[in-house]
Amino acid sequence: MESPHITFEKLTDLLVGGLNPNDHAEVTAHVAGCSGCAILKMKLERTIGLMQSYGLEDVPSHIFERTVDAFSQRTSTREVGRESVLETITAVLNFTTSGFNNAFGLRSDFPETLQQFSYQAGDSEVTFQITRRNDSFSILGELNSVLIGESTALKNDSFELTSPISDLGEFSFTGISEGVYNLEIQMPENSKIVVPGISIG
Amino acid sequence: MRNLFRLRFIFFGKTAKLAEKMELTDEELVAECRAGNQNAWEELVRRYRRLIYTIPRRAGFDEDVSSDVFQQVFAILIQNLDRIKHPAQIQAWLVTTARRETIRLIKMRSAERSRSADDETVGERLLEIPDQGILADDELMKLEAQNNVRNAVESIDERCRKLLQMLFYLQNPPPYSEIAGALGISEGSIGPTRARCLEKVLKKLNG
Repeated sequence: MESPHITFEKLTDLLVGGLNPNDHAEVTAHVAGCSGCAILKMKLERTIGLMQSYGLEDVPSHIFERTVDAFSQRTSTREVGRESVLETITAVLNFTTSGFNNAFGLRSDFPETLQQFSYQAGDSEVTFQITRRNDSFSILGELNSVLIGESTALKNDSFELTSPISDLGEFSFTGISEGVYNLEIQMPENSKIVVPGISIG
Repeated sequence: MRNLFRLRFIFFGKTAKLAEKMELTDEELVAECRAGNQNAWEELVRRYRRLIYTIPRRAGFDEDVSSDVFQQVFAILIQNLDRIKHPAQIQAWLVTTARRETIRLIKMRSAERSRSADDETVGERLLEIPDQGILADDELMKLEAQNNVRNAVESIDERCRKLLQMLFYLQNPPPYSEIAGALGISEGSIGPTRARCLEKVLKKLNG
């Protein structure tokens, strides 16, 4: 942490005041010619700036305590196993840019974006966009759900492509040909979200 | 693994101190939570309590609604604790979940308002709808950085923590004489102490 050239204290004084004019000029000149010192100064300056611009609010203490206590319920509920049949939730179209001209809903700096879709599946929302690169298509999507999805698959009668899904619900498919597909998202607790009849191309 | 056991011993021993708690990474805390450790859960909630609560507050929600969002985010985490694939990135997961819950509420309120009260003007109704644009990525990243610094400050010794709080977290920092009196040090040692304390914070932040 200590710069080999100037003390941390002098660097701090440079940023928050406390150096006499001579020392100020000396330290400033040194930092200007020392990349390590400049990086340290930048980190320190950013840290102090984050303290001074601090804008976080603390949650009320009783809410904090209640949230902490809620964990004990988890310990007991996770011991309760349950058998369940496969539940399939068919997603319903909320919104699409399909049918709009390119000036509406599409960003002009991404001319390859063809369509954007938003589907509702129970309490979950599935959004994705289809883009074209040369002769093939890609899907970039996101599942907004209280449960983290397990995997995704894009399929029709003759084709199936699987993709992992991130903790944040992001998934993608590339190298897709023209056709009509179902998007299936495997969810926990033996349930599945299906977005039917996605027409590509 | 041995290191984790050692940390667990330190962390959950009766003599555990806040400074030592900070030694546990997010990934280690999540692992402890998965094992059902209530103390680890408390530390995880404590670490992110300000950040998560501030997100709906920034969008314009009041304390009650923001408290609901806060509890909902951690309830969702409890539900998904065993499914998180990258526990080291739990901060990003919490922030994204808080933002989504906030936006979901914004949309819900917006829909409710569009169905209700004809006697209100559109302009009045729009003013009451919290602004989801305020939850832009760069704004959230700044809040995350502020939270990380705040946690680092809280993890260092009490004297340093108090000094930095008085110097940098107060809108109108008290005069040096007052700070010196409160900390029981001479005015002349505030500068060197300040430097040492900031150095400790930087070390915490940079591992």
